[in-house]
Amino acid sequence: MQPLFLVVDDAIFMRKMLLSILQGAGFIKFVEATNGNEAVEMYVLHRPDIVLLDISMPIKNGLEALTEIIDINPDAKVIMCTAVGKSSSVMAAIEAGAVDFIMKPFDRKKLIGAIGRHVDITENTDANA
Amino acid sequence: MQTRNEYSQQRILLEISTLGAQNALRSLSILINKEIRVSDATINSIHCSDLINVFGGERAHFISILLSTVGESINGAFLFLLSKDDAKLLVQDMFSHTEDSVEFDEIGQSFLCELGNIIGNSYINLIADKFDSSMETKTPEICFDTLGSILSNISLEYMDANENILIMENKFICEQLNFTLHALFFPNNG
Repeated sequence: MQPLFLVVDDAIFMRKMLLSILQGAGFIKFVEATNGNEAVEMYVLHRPDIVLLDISMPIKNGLEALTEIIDINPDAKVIMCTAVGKSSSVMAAIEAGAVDFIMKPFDRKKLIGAIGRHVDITENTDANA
Repeated sequence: MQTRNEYSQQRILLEISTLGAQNALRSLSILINKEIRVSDATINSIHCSDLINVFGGERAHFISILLSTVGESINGAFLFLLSKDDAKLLVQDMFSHTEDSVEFDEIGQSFLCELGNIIGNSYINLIADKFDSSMETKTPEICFDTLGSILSNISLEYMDANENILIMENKFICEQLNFTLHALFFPNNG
C-alpha cells in the first residue's frame, strides 16, 4: 500500500523539490502544508504515514508543530528537514519524538533511505532503485 | 602593518570563505541539479560607509537574502546580495522561463530565498564545525530593492556606523551561466 506523505515547508520551491524526488521514487500520495499550524491541522485531518517537517518556518515552527503532532499520536513518524546540521533544534526535535532528520538541499538517496527506515517501501520498486 | 593576531584572524576567515564556498557549491549543485564550479573566494573588510560605492551606488538593484544567526561562537546576520540581472538569469535558467515571463514569480522568489538559505547555512555549518558549537538560524528574509533601501533596512539592527563589514565574494560558473554572490557578515554586538 502506498504511504501518505505530509510535506511541510513554507518555501514552495522546497515543497516542489521534495514532491519531485518522492514522485521520482514512485510515491504518489501527498498532502502539503506551509507552516506549523497547517501541519497540525493536516495531520489531524489526513493521519499521514510519514511527515517531512521543516524546522524553520514562520507562524509556528517545525519544533512546535512536532510537539503537537506527537501529543496527538506518540507513534507519528516525523522526519525533520533542516539546512543547519549542528543545531540544538535538531537534538530537541529528536528528543521530542522525531524519528530522523535530513539535511537541505535534499540528496535523493539519503531522503529515500531515511523514509525507508521508518515506513515499509518494499512495494515501491522505484524507491529501492 | 598587520599584527600577528590580525593576520591569524584573516587566515581563518579566508579558510572559512574558501571552504564555505566549496560547501555551498556542493549544496547548490544538488539544489539546481547541475554541475557548478566556483572561482577562488575573496574576502575583504570594508568600512560600512563605503558599502554603497563598492556595490555600484544606492540605486543599484539587488536581490538580498538576510539570514540571522544566533550561536555560541557567532551572533549576527549574513546578507547575501545577488544583482537583479544575475538573479533573473538564474531563475530563467532554472525554470526555463523566457525573457517575457513574469520576472520573479512565486516559485522564482522561493528558489532565490532557498538559495540564500542553503548557501548561508553552508557557511554556518562550517563555522559550527570549526568551533564545535551549535548554531541556530531564523527564517530567511528575501527583499527585491535598491541597495540603499536594503542597507538602510538592516542598518538599524545590525550596522554600527564605526564598523568594518566582512565581505566574501564567490563567482559561480554553471554551464553558460556565471553569477556572483556577495556574502556580507554583520556581527550583532548588542
